[in-house]
Amino acid sequence: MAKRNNLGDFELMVMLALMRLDNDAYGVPISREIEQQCGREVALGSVYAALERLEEKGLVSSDLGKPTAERGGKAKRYFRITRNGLRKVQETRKALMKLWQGLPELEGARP
Amino acid sequence: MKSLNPPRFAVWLLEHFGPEINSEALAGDLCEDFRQGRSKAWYWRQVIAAIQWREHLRVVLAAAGVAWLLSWPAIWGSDRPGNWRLDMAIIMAAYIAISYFPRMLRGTWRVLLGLLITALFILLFYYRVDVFNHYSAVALALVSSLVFHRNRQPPPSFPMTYRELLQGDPNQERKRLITSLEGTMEQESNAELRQAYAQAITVLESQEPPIAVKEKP
Repeated sequence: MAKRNNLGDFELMVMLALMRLDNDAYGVPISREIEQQCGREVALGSVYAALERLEEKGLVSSDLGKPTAERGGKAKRYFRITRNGLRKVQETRKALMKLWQGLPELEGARP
Repeated sequence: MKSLNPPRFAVWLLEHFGPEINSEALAGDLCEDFRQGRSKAWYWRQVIAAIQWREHLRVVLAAAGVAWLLSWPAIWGSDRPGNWRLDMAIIMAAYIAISYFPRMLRGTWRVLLGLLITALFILLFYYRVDVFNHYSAVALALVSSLVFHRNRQPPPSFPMTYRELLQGDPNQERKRLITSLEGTMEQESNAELRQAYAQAITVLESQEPPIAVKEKP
């Protein structure tokens, strides 16, 4: 059976949040960005679970910052999108655009 | 007055039963958010959501399965000595310990526990050889898991930001600079300057990817 390599709904949200935050993407800002833009509360654990999956697929890379006192001496882990990740987001966007094209306009789609 | 520190037991649960790779970063993020005014209830909700329940259930079910399989001859009346219920309990406990202890304990504690189990089984060998023979495989598996455990590490990173990805590879810029320096060095007649150019090239070459593009705060 072919290995599942598509981006899930939440994974795509996390990838887009990473791109928006660019150089300051760690757990707290990523979850806040999703909450602000999508209006849904997200658990930080779910964000990390998605990031771990994305990192295993090679779509995201990470490195550790320095431990700070306001975080109880714990280091931040910064995440960044990789070249493959960017390609995957572009592919997903194209696929979604194609699927949307030609559909009758949804009721209430326009503000 | 609200405490600055999150609930200790919740932190312990998170560190030991949360995500294997990112539990420290997650604990730090939760601590940061908590200190910015989140409630204890919020903290607990986040910890409960972060615990890998499915993974822990899989371990317990696998432990029960393995214990049942290994106790099969005793359950169905073979010549193995001992109580099959006790066998099952010990094998289950050992399986769960093998799954959790190595990653829960730090290096020194892992070694101490390994030595303690080994010492216990050496004593059993002298005083209760029947028990030793019965459970030696379990002890060997437990000690091996403690000795040979390696923490899972995230894959090597290649730190480039989204904008840098769009603008191009910073290593290309570095390579261009090296080529340019090499050209200048060849034309330079002053020996000291040539040495300085050579040192600069060595420094640039030693930063073969990944290269740090921005220092973390």
